[in-house]
Amino acid sequence: MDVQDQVDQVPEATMNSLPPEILSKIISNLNLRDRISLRSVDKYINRVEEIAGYRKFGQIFYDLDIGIEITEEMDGEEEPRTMRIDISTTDLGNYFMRGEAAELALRLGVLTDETARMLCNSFKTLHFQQLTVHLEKDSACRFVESFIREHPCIEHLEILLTDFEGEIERVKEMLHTLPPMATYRVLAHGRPVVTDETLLHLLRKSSKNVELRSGTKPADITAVGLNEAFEIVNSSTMERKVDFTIPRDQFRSWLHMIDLSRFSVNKKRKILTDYDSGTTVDFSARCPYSMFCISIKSDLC
Amino acid sequence: PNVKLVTSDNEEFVVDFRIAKMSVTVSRLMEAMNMSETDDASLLSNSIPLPNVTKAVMARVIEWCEKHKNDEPKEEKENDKRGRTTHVVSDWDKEFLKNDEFGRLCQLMGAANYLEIKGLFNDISQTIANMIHGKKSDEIAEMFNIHCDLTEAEKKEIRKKTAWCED
Repeated sequence: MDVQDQVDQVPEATMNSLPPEILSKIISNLNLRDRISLRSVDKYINRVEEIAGYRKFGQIFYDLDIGIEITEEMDGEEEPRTMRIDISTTDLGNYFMRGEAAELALRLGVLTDETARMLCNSFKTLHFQQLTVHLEKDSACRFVESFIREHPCIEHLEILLTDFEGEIERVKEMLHTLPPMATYRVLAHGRPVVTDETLLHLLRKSSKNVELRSGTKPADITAVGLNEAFEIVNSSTMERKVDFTIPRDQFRSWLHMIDLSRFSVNKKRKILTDYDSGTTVDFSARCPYSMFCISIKSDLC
Repeated sequence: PNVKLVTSDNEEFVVDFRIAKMSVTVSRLMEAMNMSETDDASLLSNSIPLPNVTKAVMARVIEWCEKHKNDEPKEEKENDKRGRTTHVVSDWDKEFLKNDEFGRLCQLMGAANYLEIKGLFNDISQTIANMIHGKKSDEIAEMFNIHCDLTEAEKKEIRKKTAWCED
């Protein structure tokens, strides 16, 4: 009897006879749509699908007006597909349970207690590396603080204040309570949210990059803040980069503050390079010309 | 050096030490039995019992291992552009598995799981996932010969929960 005959003699296995650890591995390789098809196959597969591995999402986007949208990459398709979830009929806590998303984006307008609870419960066990918060009202700051605390998985945080209306001091307070992460990005269109204190706090808490954009107005960063930011990046043994804007006069003050012989100066490309460490300071005047865009990079970048 | 593996149906396979080491389970057993590559006597006097693997399945496992014995160790995770874990089945592996019925794939996957041969296990689970991809529930049930034991009420509840995903 040859090998093929022997294999043929073994009783045929079916999918619902596979042990859960093997079935869940197969399920974890499927995209969302395929997993949904599997749910209606039989009770056992349905149960394993409910608890198997992580559901994988691309971006999950919440907006009070449109509800929740999922952008998912389907196999063999170039463009990601967007699907909208009906919040009223879907058990969101169960749906996102132990899910994995590349990014969770929340557009937070006026946040009621009920909505805050819904968001907390829906994403309680979701694993995501990037959180993007589009903050429109300062009343949502408390929610953002606790939401971030409850999700230590966040590595990249982006806070958009482009449509923000409210008390900017509350936002500053929130930024000062942020836990350590790899990168922070704060985009505040024309709102003076960034000060020396914010910049240095985020730089000390981040392990990689900090980007603070303030549109056409420079951030409230002084020569002292710039100098400290430079020293933090300069003393880092990891790849670090920090971008922000600074009033022109403060940048000039910084040039008087430092020992320029320590740097090589490329006036054409507007780059200062520390001779010893290789850390660079890119500076370029931007319209309006009352400010400079600064980019400090460690030599490893 | 060679290692002797004995299957559940008492068939003895003599395989290269490198092939034996591809199985985490076999490696652990060899360690426990003080079998080492440099000690020929220990290899000759011992054999590794594998009560959960039949002769026929073992032959397929060894065929796969022979092909992959010189592979560079793979990273734990192969990430796609969104940072999610993916597994790509090579052309040779696709060819190796393409004629296997689902039942045979399951036996092979069970053996790969028991022997802890990660590459083979991932290849088969991805191959089965590819068989499911794009099919509707009834097509999956038919393909795998599954009798659906869900009640109409349960089916309705599932449809309600997943209505947002229908085209």
